[in-house]
Amino acid sequence: MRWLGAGCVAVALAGSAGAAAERSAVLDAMEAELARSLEVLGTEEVPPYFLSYEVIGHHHMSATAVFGALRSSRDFRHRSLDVDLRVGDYALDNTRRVGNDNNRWRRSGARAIPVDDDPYAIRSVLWRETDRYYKEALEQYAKVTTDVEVKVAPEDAAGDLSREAPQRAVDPIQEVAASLADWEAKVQRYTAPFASASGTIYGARANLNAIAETRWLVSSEGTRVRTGEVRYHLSIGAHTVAEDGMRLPRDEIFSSTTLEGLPSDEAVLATVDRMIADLEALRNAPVVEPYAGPAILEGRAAGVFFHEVLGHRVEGHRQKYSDDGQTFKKKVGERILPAGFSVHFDPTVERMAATDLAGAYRYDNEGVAARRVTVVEDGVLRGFLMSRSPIDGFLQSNGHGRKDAGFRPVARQSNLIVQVANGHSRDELKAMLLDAVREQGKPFGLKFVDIQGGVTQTGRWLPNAFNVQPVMVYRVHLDGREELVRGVDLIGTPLTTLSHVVAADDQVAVFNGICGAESGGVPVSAVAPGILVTQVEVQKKPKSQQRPPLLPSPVAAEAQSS
Amino acid sequence: MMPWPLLVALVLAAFGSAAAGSDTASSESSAEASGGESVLLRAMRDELARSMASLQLEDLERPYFLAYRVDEYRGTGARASFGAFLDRSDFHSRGLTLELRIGSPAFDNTNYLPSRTWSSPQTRSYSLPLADDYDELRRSLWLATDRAYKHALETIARKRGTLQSQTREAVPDFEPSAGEREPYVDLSTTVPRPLPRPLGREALRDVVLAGSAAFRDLPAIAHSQVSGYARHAVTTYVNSEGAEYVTYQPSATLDAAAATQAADGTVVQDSERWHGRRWAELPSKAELVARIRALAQRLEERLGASPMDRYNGPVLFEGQAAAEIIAQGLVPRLLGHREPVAEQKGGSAFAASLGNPFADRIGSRVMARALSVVDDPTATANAAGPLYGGFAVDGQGVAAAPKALVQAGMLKTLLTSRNPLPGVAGSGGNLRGAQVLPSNLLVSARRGLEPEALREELHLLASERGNEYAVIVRRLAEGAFQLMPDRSRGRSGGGPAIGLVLEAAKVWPDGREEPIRKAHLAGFSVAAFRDIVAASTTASNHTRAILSPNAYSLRTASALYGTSAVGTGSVTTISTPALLFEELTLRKPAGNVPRPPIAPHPYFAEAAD
Repeated sequence: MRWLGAGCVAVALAGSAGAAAERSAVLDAMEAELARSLEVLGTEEVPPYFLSYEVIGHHHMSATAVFGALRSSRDFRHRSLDVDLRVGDYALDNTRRVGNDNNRWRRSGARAIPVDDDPYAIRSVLWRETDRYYKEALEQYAKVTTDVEVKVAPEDAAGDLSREAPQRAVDPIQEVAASLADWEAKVQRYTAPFASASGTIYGARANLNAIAETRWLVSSEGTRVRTGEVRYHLSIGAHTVAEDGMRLPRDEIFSSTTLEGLPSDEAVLATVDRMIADLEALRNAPVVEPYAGPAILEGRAAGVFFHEVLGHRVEGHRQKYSDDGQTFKKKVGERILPAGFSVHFDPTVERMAATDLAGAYRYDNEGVAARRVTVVEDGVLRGFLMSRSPIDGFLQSNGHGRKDAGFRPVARQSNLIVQVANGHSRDELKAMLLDAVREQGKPFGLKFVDIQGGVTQTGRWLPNAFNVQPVMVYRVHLDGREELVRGVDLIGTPLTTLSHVVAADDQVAVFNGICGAESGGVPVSAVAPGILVTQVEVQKKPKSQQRPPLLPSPVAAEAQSS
Repeated sequence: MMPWPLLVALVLAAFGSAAAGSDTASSESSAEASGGESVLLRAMRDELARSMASLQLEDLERPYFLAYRVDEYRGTGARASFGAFLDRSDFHSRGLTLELRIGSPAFDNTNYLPSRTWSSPQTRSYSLPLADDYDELRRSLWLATDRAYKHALETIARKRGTLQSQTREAVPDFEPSAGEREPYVDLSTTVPRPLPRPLGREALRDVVLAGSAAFRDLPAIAHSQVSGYARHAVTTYVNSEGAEYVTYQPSATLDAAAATQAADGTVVQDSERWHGRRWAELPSKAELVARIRALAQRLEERLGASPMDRYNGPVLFEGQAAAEIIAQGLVPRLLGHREPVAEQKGGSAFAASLGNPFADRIGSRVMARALSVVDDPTATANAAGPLYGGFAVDGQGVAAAPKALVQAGMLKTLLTSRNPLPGVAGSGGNLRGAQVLPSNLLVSARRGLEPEALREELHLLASERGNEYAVIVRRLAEGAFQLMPDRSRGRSGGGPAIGLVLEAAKVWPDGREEPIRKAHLAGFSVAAFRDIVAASTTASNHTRAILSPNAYSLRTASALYGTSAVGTGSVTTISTPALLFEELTLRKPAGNVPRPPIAPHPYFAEAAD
C-alpha cells in the first residue's frame, strides 16, 4: 500500500511533558473550583463520580465583501463553558437515554465565561454552573434508574462512560497573525472582478476568516489540558440564476493553519476568473435528467462521498441505540470495499496534498489524545470512531469525542483519508468508465468534479440514504467528449453504493469543511483519490420558479455588457 | 413517537460564517459631514425612480408605492461580571428595509397573512455595503427590489385567491399620501462622517468593569452582570411619494443586574437601566457603584422579608412600577395593528392576535376620568427630566406629531401606521421600524394628590375594606429580565401578562413599612385602569425598550406592511404619576422553588477571608 499524491506531516504528539509545566491561570482556576466542588458535593447523598470543565475561547477575526464592497468586518473574543457532571457510575449514569428521550443530543447550554484571566470571576461562573448541573444530574439520574428497572435490557450492554488515562499538556496559546485592514482590502479586491463581469452574476461574496481557538479542559480523573490552534479560511462564493430559475452556485474555500498558507492574491484572482467562467458555462449548460449508471467522482467529490456514505456510519454512538441505522455494526471483519481500499481517520495529520487539513487536533473535547484509527483495511471493516461513550466490543475512546461549544461530545469524524493501492492514472480511469458505460448500454457516463457538500440520514425511521450536492458535473460521452451539465444531486444508499466502487485514480484531493451533526459543527477534512463507481443514481435538484431579475443591472458597465 | 430524524451534513465554505459576534468597520470611503446629497441617498433615489418607472413583469401590476429605509448603526459595548469582561463588541452595519406595494391603496399586497408553508422569499433582511460605493449600493437595492416585487405579485395573487372564499371589510389597505400634507423632506441633519466609534474602550473599562467589580464587596449577591452600550443610528429614507429624510440619533445604555437566593431557595433578582443620548449622560463610575450598592441593599431587604400569601385591596404604584403597569397593562391595547386576512384556518388565530379589541372601544371609557394619555414623539423633556422616545418622522415618512390617545379617561384613538384601521381616524405616524410603537407616552392626572394625601387615600381605602395595611409597589419586572433561572411565575387570569412584583411593601397607617419578598398581580385586567382612584401631582420618567405584544417577526412585518425587516433598538419613555388602584390582588408566585446553592460562592468563601 502506498500513499497517493503528496506526503503528510504528523502532529508531534511527543514533547508535551515539558509544556505541561507551563502555567495557566485559567486551568488553575478550573482545577481549584473542580476540587472544591468535588469536596463539597462529595458529602451529598448522591455524589458526582465524574466532573469535567471545558472552556473554549475564540479570537475571531473576519472581513466580508460583496461585489467589491465591504459588508462587515469584526474582531471579537469570546469564551464559553461546558460542564460534564455525572452521578451514578461508569456503567450507568445520568446521561443514559431514557425511553425515546431524544435529548441525548441536546445542547448542554454553554455559558459565557470571562475573557479575562481573573480566577474568581471565572470560578464564580464555574460555581454557578456546577450547582445547576449537579441538580439537573440528580433529577435525571432518578429517571434513569427507574427507566432501567421497568424496561428490558438494552441491545448494547456497554456502560455510559469509558475509563481513560488522564492527560496533561499545556500547549502554547495561538494568536491570529493578521491585519484586519489588510483583509478588508483583500476581500474587496477578490470580489471586484464579479462586479465587472457580466450582469448575470447575482451574488458574489468573499470572506476571510481567522479563528484562534484555545481549549482548557480539566476533569476529576486528573486531566489538565490546554490546546491552542489557529486556522485561516478564505471562502469565495458566487451564484447565477439560469433562465429556468435554477440557482447555480460556485464556491471555493482555502484553509491553512498559517497566514502564509493561504494562496497569493494572484492565485485567488485566477480562481475568481475561473469561477466567473464556470458560472457563465453553468448558466448555459443543459439540464440532465435522472440517471442511473457509471460515474467518476474526482478527489474532492469522492472525499465528500466517503464522508457521507461511510464516515457517518462508523461513528461509534450510532451503533448504540435501537433506532440507529447501525449499518456496519455487525460487519466488522467483513469486506465493504474492494481489496486495496483502506480508510483511516487521522487527526494527527496536519497536511496532505499541499493542503492544511481542517480535521487535525491534539486532544478531543473529552481530553483524550487524538490518534489514527483504521476503519477499513484492504477493503475490510475493522472498527469505529469512538468517543468516551462505549459500545459492545469497543470499550475505549480513540480520541474522536468532538463537539462545538454548547453541545455534548459524540463520536465525530476528523481527517478522513482514503488510501488505495495501485491507483490508476486519470486517463486510465476514464477509459474504465467508458468501458462500464458500454457494458451497461448507457449513452454516457457522469463525472463529478467539484462539490458543494452533502447530507445523510443515519436513523431507521427515514430511508438510510445520502445526498451529495455536486456543482460541476460532466456528461462523458462514448467518444470521450465531456459536456458540462447542471441540475442533479448524487443520491443512494450506503451498502449498495459502496459495493459498486471498483477503482481509484492516483490524484488525491482535499475537501475541508464544517460537518454539522448532533454535537454541532466541527471542522473536518476528507482526503481521497478519484474513484470509479459502476452504478450511481442522480436525481433532479430542487429548483426555484423565480425568474432572473427583471431589470438589467443598474451598474453601468454591466448594463452595457449584458 | 417517531424520533427526531438525524440528518448530518457537510458544507463547504462555512467556516465561522454563522458565528455570533459583532462587526466593526475600519474603512470608510465617505467624509461627508451631513446627510445632504450623500452617495447613499443618490443611489436610493435613482434605483427607486428606475423601479417605479420600469419594474413590471409582463402585463402584471407595477408598484404603486415603494420606500427604502436604510438604518446604519455603529456601536460599542461590553458585558462584565464580577470584575471581568464577558465580551466586548464593536459593530457597524447598514440594513435595508423595503416597503413595496402593488395594486392600489384600496386593495394591495399587504394586510395578508399567507400560509406558513409558503416559502416566502421576501421575509428577510438585507445588508448593504458599509462604504458609500454608488454602484454596489445600486446593485443591492436592485436585487432587493426585484425580490420584493416578485414576492408582492405572488402575495396579491394569493390574497385574491383567499378572498374568493372569505369576506373582508371594505377598508383600504393603505393611506396613500399621508393626507393632504406635502411629502416629508428634511435633509438638513448633520451626520458625522465617517461615523465614529461612539465610545472608547477606556470608558467601558472605567465604568462597566468597575461597576461589575463592585459586586466583590457585596457577599449577599450571588450573580451579577453589568453591561454598557453606546451607538450612533443614522436613518436615510426615500419613498415614491417624494418623502426624503436623514435622521441621526446617538444613544447610550447602562445596565446592572443582580440576583441571589433566600435560605428557602426563593430567587430574588432585579436590575437597573439608565438611558442617555450620550455616554456622558449616564452615571459615572462612582454613581454607578453607589446605585449598585443600593440595588444590592434592596435585594438584601427582600431576602429578609416574609413571603406574601394573598392580598386584596388598594395598591399604590410608584415610580418604575407605575410606568411598568402602563407599559405592560395598557400599551399593548394602544397599538393599532390591523387583523390581516389569513390564508388558512391555522393562521387566523395568529392573525386575530394581531388585532386589538380596543379598536372597537374608541369613544369608550378605558381609564379613570381624571387620567389622560398623550403619545408625543416631538417632546424631548418634561418636568420630570429627559424623554428619549422621540423622533422627527416615522418609518413611513409621516411627520411626528403628538396624539391624544386617552382624554379624561375616554379612548380617542390608537397608535397607527398608514394601514388604516376600521373605525380609527387619522392613520399613520407611529410606525417605528416595522412595528407600531409608542414614543414618549405621557400620562397626566387632573387633581393629583401630594404624597401625604395620596398615602392617606391609600389607607382610607384599606380601612374601608377592613385591611390592617395597604400595599405600595415600587418595581415590576419587565418580563424578559432574568439573571437566574426562576421557575416561579404569576398567573394573570387571561389578562395582560404582568411581570413579577420585584419591590413592594406593606404599609401601615403609622407609616411603618415591611418589605414584601416577591409577589405577582393575580387576575389583572385592563379594566383595572378604570378603577384608578387617585394619582400623584408629579410624574416620573422611565425609559425602556418596548416590543409589540404579538409574536412579532419578519413574517408579521411582511404580512402587515409588505416590508422586509423589523426595526431594532426602539425605546419609549413613559412619564406617569403614581397611580392608586382601588382593588387588586397580589399573591405569592406559583411554581417550584429551586434549592439554594450547595457550595458557597468561591470568592466569598476563600478570597474574602
